[in-house]
Amino acid sequence: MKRLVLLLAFSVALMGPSNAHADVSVSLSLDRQEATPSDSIRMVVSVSGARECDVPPVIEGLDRFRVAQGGSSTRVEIRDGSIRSGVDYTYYITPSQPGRFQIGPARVQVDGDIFESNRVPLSIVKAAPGKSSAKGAIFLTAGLSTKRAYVEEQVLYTLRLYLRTRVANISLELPEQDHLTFQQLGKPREYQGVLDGHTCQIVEVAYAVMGLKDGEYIIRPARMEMTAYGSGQQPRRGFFDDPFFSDPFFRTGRPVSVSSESLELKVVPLPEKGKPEGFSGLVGSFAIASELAPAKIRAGESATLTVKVSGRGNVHRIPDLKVPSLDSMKIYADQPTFTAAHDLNGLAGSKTMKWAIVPELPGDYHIPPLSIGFFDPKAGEYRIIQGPGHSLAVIPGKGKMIMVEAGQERQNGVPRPEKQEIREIGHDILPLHTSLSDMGTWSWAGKRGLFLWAVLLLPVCAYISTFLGLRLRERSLQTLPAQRAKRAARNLFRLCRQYGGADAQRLSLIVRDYFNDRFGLALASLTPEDAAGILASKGVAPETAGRLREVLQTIENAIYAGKGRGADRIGQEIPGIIREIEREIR
Amino acid sequence: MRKTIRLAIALLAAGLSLMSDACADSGWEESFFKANQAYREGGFQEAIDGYLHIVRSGKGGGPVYYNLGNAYLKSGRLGRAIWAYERALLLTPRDPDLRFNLSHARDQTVDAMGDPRGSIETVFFWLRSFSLRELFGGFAVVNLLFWSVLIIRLFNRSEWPYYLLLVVISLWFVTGLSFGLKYYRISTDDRAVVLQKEADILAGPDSADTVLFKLHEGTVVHHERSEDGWSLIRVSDKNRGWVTAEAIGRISEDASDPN
Repeated sequence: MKRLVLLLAFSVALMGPSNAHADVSVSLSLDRQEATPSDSIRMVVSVSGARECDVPPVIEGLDRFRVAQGGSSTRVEIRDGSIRSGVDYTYYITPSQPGRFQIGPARVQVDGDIFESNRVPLSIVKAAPGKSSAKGAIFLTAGLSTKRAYVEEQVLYTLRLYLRTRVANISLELPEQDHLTFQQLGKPREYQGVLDGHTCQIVEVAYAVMGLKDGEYIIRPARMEMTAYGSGQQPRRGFFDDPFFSDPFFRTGRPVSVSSESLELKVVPLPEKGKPEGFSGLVGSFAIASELAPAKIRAGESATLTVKVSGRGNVHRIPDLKVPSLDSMKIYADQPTFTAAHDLNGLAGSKTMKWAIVPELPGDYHIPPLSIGFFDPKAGEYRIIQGPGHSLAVIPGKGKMIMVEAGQERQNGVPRPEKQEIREIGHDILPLHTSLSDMGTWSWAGKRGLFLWAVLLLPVCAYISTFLGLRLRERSLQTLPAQRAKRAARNLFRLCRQYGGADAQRLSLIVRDYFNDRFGLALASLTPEDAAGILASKGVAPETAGRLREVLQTIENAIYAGKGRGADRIGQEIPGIIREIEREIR
Repeated sequence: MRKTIRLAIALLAAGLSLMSDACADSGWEESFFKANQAYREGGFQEAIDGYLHIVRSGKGGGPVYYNLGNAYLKSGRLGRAIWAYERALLLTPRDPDLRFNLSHARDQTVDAMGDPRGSIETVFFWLRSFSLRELFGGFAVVNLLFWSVLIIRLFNRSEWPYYLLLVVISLWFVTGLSFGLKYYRISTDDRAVVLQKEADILAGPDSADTVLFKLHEGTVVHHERSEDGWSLIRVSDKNRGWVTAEAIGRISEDASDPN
């Protein structure tokens, strides 16, 4: 189903152009503009916008030519997104005598309407008998359209390669030199011609030559190198007389080099007389056109002035025009657009300049015409051309009403107008910054620098401190018993020094407290046996434990029975035993 | 008691220091407002002098350089305007007004300039959008977070601080690398702006040497070294030469301001 719809749409698209004749155009072209009486020239009448004509084309200017029809062909082309069809009528014309002729126009009739083509000039020159044959099967000629030209005037330099044999791999060495520029005009053209009664292939390539400085120039011979295959003689018909085997691939080529003749070109300077003020060096033939749209606007809105300078010559010299300042008007220039092209007659091009004109006050304004000066080499004088002036009617602006109306339209559901590209009509910078924020600068030195380092390093310090604190705490828990032991012994030594000779009761309490602190006990009283047992359980030697038991027994006797040795001597003996105990426990 | 007295003296000293800073601040603010007013009234040279005074007193933030660029541009000194805008761009890289005005100024230069973006900016594309201070701020926050998570890990060995640490380490690496690269780019910034309408670039540091080429106001070049009032500059590998030191202004913050 989809295919059917597509086919139908394509058919309608093809049918469409045949019915619309508003854009039918006809053109006439020749395969060369200069030939000899014995040449056959190919002529094509191209009709665009119609697939057929009511009657064959009628062509003027062919009274002195023999005409042979070459058939017709239709074509369909897609250009700028639209499908156009056309038909080409081909003819071969042979001149009967030398001379300069105008071929055309060709008239075609499409659905009752008559359309005319352009005219094409054609020069028929006498052939030089015997000259070409003396040059052999391959030779090259060069020609200038004129031998005298002004500075930067275009001169056509045409090279023709005559071939009576098949060649390949053609390369060209141009005779380029200082102060002369060569610009190739299109691709090389190939056509057939008759030379000394023999048909030959002609390859033609044209250049626009421009002298940048006055003087007399000798254009050296151009040189073409190629590979030639065979002599052009017809071989005997036989088994291998097949076009396939006549291909150059199957034949041995020989390198051939041919040169053209040298030419003289005299380049004369542009005259000083009549030179316009601010002359840009433009040489050739040019025209100017301008347009102002719209011609009626509101104050504050913009109209566009478009000026187009086009022509043939050194088009890159087309200057940027300037619109003079006008009262109560702001004028903003757009970037000019430049286009250049070339054909067989040389370089052509155009420059389009646009200005946005914004009137500030209502009234009728006159935009003065813009002019441009150039040197016309055909007339040999300077010319100044100018476009038309324009009138601009400006009515009062709407001001804020525009916004009110737009709002109402939107509320009523009316579709909004199409968006336009934002066009820049002024250039300026944005205003000052007046805020005091974000004013600070900083560096790694100074007060702020210290703060920055602190911000970076404080977390690291905090982490290291925490880590070390935790490690210290952990270590403290591990060494607590040893610390307690040291503290208990230190206390005992100190108390023995202080109260050693006092009484047995105090000595008994000192030893009891030592045991409680040293071993983490909570004994209310300590008997000699208990002390010996505790020491034995902690790994103290029996002799040492026995010595302490004896000492404690002596203290008990002194306390409860009042006999035994004196407390002062015992007080001196106890620290020694405790030191021994500490050593053994460690 | 002694400790309390020492603490009081320290606090008093810190307060006085802050007060002196505040007094100094009010002075440059007044200069800033005066320069702005002069600019609005068309006194561009007075505005330039005001902004330069602020800059030389060490208060040259992005807005001051931006305003200085505006004043230079309005007074027709394109090279100095681009210099000031480029400096402002180092401090306030996302300021849309600044980018617009800098683009406007660049449009007026004569010499064609290539994209000065290096390989580092191409890969770490966000560097151009952040100032060094902003990148430092970001790194400082992530740095604080990073060490905080590490401290948490000392007390809590469960799973969530571990994954949080992985995320924070990634952020720490990215922000730290960005900050480091930005610092490197700024500290090695060798760009300079041509300040003269037309500057002759010579083959050597002598006015008698051959003129190799000419540069025009506003063109950004690379400064290689300076000798005796001359600077060796580079536009491209093919275009190098010597120019008088006063003909260019270095963009780097560490460089002195052009006279």
